[in-house]
Amino acid sequence: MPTGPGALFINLAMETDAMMQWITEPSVTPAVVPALVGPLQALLVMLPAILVAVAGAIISMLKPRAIWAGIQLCWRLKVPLVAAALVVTAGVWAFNTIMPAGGAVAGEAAAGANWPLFRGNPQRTGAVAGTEGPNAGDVNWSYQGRGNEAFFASPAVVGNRVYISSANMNPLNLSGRIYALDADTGSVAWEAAPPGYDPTFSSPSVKGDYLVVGEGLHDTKDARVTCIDLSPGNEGEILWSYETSSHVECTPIIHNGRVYVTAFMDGIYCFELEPDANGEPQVVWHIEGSDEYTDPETSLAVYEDTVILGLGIGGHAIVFIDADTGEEKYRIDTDMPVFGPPAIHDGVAYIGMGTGDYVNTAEEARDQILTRMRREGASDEELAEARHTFRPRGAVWAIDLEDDYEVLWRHDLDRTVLGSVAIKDDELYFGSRDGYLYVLDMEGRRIGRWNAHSPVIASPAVTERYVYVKTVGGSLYAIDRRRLEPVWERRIGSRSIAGSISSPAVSDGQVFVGTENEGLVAVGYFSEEEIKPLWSGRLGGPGQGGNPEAWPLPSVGDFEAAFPADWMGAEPDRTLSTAPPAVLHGSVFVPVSDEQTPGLTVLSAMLDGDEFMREGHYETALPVHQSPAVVDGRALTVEGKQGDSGRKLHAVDIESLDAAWTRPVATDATGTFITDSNGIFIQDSAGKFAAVTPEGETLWRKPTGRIEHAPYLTGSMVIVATTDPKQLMVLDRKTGATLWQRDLDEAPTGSPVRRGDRLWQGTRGGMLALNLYDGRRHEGWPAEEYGDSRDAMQRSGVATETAVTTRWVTWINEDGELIVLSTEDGELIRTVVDASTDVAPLVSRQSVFYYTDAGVHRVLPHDDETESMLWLDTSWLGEPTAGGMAAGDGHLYLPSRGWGLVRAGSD
Amino acid sequence: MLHRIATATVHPVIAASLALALCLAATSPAKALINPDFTPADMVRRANAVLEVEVGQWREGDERLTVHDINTVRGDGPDELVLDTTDLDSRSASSLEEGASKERNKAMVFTGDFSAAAMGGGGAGRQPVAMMHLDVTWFGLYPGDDGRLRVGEDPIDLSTVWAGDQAMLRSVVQYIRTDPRAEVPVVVGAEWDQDELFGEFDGTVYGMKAIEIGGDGKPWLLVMYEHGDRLFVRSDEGSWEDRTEAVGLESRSRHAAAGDFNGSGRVDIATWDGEQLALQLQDEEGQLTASSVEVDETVNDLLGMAVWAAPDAERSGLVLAPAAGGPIVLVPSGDDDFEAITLGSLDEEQAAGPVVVGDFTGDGINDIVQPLADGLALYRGEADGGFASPTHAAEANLGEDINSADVGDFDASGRLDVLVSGRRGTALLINEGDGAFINRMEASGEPSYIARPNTAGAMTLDVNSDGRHDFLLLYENMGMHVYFNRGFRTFGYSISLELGDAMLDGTDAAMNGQVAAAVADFTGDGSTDVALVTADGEGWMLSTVLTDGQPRGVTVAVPEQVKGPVYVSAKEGERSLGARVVRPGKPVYFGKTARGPLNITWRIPGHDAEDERVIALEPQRFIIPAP
Repeated sequence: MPTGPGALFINLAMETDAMMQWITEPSVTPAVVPALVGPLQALLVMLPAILVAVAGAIISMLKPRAIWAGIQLCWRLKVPLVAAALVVTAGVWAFNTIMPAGGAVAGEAAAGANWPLFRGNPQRTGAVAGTEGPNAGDVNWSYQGRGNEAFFASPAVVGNRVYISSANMNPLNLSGRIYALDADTGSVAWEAAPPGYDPTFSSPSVKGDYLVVGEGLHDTKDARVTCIDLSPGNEGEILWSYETSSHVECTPIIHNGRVYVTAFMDGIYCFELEPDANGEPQVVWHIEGSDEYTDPETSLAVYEDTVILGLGIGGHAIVFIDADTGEEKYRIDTDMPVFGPPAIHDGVAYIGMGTGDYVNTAEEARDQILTRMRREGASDEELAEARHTFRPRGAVWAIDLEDDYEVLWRHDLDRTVLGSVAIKDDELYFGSRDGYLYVLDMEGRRIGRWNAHSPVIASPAVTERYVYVKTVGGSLYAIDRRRLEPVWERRIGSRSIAGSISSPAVSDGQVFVGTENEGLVAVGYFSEEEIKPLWSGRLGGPGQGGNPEAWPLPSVGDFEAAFPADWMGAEPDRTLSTAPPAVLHGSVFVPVSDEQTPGLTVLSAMLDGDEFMREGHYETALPVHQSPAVVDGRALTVEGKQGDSGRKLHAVDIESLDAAWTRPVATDATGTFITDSNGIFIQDSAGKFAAVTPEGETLWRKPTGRIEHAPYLTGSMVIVATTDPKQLMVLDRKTGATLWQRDLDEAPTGSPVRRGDRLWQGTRGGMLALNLYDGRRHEGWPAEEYGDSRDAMQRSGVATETAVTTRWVTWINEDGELIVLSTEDGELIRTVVDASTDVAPLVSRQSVFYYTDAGVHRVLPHDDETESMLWLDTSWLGEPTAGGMAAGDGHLYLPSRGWGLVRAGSD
Repeated sequence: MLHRIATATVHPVIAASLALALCLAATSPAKALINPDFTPADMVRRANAVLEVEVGQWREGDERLTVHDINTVRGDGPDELVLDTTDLDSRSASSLEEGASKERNKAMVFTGDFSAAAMGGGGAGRQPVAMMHLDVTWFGLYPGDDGRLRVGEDPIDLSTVWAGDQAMLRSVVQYIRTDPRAEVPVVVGAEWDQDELFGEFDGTVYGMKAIEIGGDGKPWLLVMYEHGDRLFVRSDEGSWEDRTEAVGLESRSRHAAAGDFNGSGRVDIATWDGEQLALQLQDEEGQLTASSVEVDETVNDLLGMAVWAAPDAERSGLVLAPAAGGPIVLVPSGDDDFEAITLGSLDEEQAAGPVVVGDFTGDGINDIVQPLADGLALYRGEADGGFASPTHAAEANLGEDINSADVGDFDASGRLDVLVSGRRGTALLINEGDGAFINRMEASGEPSYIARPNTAGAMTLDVNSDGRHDFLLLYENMGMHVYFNRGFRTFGYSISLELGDAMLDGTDAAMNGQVAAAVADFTGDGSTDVALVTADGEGWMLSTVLTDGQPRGVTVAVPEQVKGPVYVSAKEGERSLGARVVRPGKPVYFGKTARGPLNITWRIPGHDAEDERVIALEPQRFIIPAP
């Protein structure tokens, strides 16, 4: 043992190293939260030695005389000093353990749907059904608990109550509590804890008058499963508590009057929800911890009479257990740890898994395992196998619970999935340690993904409109489900693992989520204003494919109605519209080019029997040949075409159909325009391009050349393609300054479209994929290996507008081929021949619609087994007159000669 | 009898209760056994592979069922299939022997797990890895040794999914694979909605006909009544008017047929009162004047009659169905006479039924079929207007007292089928082509075990406007049966059209029995209504409402220049709606609910087939252009 002044520190360091070794290579298998607070516990154990060492160091630096005088003084004042120390200690203790957080009194508990398992329901949506989450706002309240507690658990929300367990990591007062907070104010309705309750990661589950929760963190050896009474008048009273011999980090599930929960090394338990006549917990069955059930940490699922759980490190399996008897029914080996709680829908379980855990990346976990194996004398082959087994990887599996647990599919990933899969509207949402939020369809095919640029280890919450994702980087995002783009973001908590393992819960416009240092927070509010539906121009705007809201369309289409009702093919040469309508706010805005009734006709999207209902007509002096835009309660329309005099841009109030303002458009201007909430951009004089405020005032104007296709707007840029000269340019939106421009070899044939840093421009020579920031050819798209994609892009000019979604980039070329490429990497997904070059493709979530002589066809690009099918026979209708179709409210709108505006739908 | 037996040994109340319960059980149809959650469409979509195979002949005791050909229709099928039959139970063996009775027998194999189709949770125990359909029976195929499949019983009872025959299963699979709109309905999709009392009859009603006699496209209702025929028409306001006196109808008929018997261009009615044939000729004012028809041949005990005309005839003729001696064709002669030509009977010993006239052989010439006690007689029409000697077109045990024969197309093949009914029961005589018919009642689904004998009448209709030919059976002492066509000549019992459930006076009245009925769109809403006379003499019109959608079918009528039956068929997109026979005064209906085009094809005897596309955005009437 070293000696001397520094000896204590050296010895301390040696002891620390030994402790860390113990932590990282415990004699037991690491759990999902293996050593989250291990160093703190280590510190606690060493604290006395540290204090002594510090005191000794200080003493050794002081003169002996002064020290002696100080000691004598302390001795004389020994009674007051001791009393003061006691008072301070008691005060600290009282403050930490007795004083409530203060604030408003909690309101009465309101009824609400149960939250009987982790994330609230078998689909693990993490949201109260029928409510929406926030898209605006900031922290409404935060509850710090007693002495700045951490909240690692995930809230359960029932009615106006938020239930959560806490973790007080103060070394002087390591403890936990169970809280019920008022969802609106954050005030404490009640709090409870069994004696000596440990800091806790397990989340509460609530059913009826019962709340059940586990206890402890990884090192807890005697965690309890506790049941708390929620009946009126008895809230917070502990009904029963059962002590296990390990930790209970798992969130219990309450199902059919029973509680199912895992207790790490102590195995798996089933309790009766109600205590016996003596108030004691009733164990129905208990599977002892053993090598057969290594590292059971997932929150369980129950489907009919089967309990489903995953086994983590060393277990590498999904196990199916008889809920009544505890007998194992079946087991699937997964070859990687399973920590994801199973989500269940329609008899299929969806489970995430992968290498690594909450604290350790796959590489770190692997290195720890390899270190231990080396120390234990593992052979090179064994090390190689372990290196392979524990390489970074992850997956989501789908298992048929009604068909002998057949594995239906596996979706492999580069990193683990630790949270649950959330299921909504036949779509699967989950986050991965690789930093992405993924969306799959029910067959395991990727619909899209969003890059959070930070690991996602918590479970997402999903509502009708949004997915809520919390990242390790400390951000909470609301992602628009249709576009997979964030609409709202807030910094919540610290950038840390510990601060990011609580999964958000959504109810009534708020998100509730735990943090490490900022308490349990309630964030945001839902604002309809923030939605700002927008139809920004032709086909909903560049790249929108006629369906900017991604309305699903029925699997087959039937003719439903036509406007005007008195046409119906009786005047086969008559044309109502030469541009597609706008469909928004439950109305259809039809640009009328028919000389008898020029202007903008507004129809209700609801039919009266078999006929359209006309809401009104805004008359213009000249026929309208361009699609209208609809934004912020106004419709914008340009009358006439180039060469007509007296043209105007009209801004029309959609309620009153009165003009809010008009401004002239020059005779020789194309009149092409695009808009969003913040402005209008229009070529209103020959060769010049103007930015106009929503109130019709000119912001700037600059010469650009001839613009025939609507520009693409971003928050800061305007991307413009001109046909004369043949150029593509990016302008600063505020000033019109040119950020970059490049010549095009061939004239553009449609609007530029963009996603991320990729810009696509259709031209007579083919499709260009460019870098948004400099206009150069995009190096990574399509990916190097997709030569067939490059060929598809270059072999023929682009004939129609291009549509871009989270999944596809699609257009029709001059050879009549519908080309579908993957948005992400440019892989050629599908080619369909004989598509009409006169009608742009329309996209919905899973389908692309295109036109042929026989009618509107539908193709599912990702479904190789399904041919394109005739969705709507239009051979008896007139030919399309508008160059495109529009979709809204589940219907398709197609201007047709002799029939006017045709609507199709059904199912 | 049961009651008398019961009272001998048990308390009278108990006995009466038992008897009542048994009577109710006997008269109430069994509840439908169609799987509401799993259809052939699900079968095809869930299957890993669908195979069309041909198997060899098999007899009980054979260890193997030889597979000759495998055609993979969908998915990844095996190149080889070895079917071991050593493990068959006796019932399955019997079915297999019956189904594989020929040298080569068509079958279909669906591989995959169809346990989801098991109604009531399915059976425990081993589950098949594939299902085979042969003839009319499903078999389970289980994993055996050495890659073989063992043929065994069907634990799932896929007959609730498909109870038709093999040929139609192939057709329906093809339909499902190629038509994105393919559906195999599990319910009729209609319910009784409205009832109207049009008359009361204190005496025997022999029959009813719906005839468009008014010239305005409205169906009138002729009730052939013991005390004088009645003629009703429904006003637009929903009231029924007895126009008998107004039009001067003074007949008492047992049988009737509509036609233009004097070449006036207006619809007349031929009537038979049991002794005398008369023509009720319509003048310009709409008045009917009776004119006797003297027939050289002795006509006894007429079973029915049907309109007929030679190609380009200027007047309608008639085909009479005497009880014996074979049909008699009345060929117009001169301005107002008829020449009677007896066609002769196929078998004088056999009882016969009513005749049906239509182009059953697909050559553009009308033929005559007449059901007999042991089958169907076919009289092929000839180009010169004559008829060939009768041939035996079908073998079927139709029995005596056949009271109904109606034409339909139950598998949408474009070939005319015949629905026959009477005391022995009901037969679905399916036209296999080239003058051959087969009774497919046993493989028709629910009618095969729900339909009762002793019908009072049978007729075809499209009760739910889906373009498929349904049929209804009348009973004198219990409720009417309506069977909806699921497609490809399999039918379901229309539970929602059970008279007792509708809570209408008319349906309640009809529950005790019906003696006659006629179908037409009396209300003008585009759907088919049923007018009937109850066993108690009340005349009710019942109309339906669709549970989903609106009827938008097309009613097809002949022009006044056409005097006899015309073959007509229709297609909605690629889907065939089958064939009909349209006659003067008796249009036909092609049902549809989606708005859009219907392609109609017709062939007037003596002329080429023609077609036209009709855009049906609402219920539409189409009159075939005159030749």
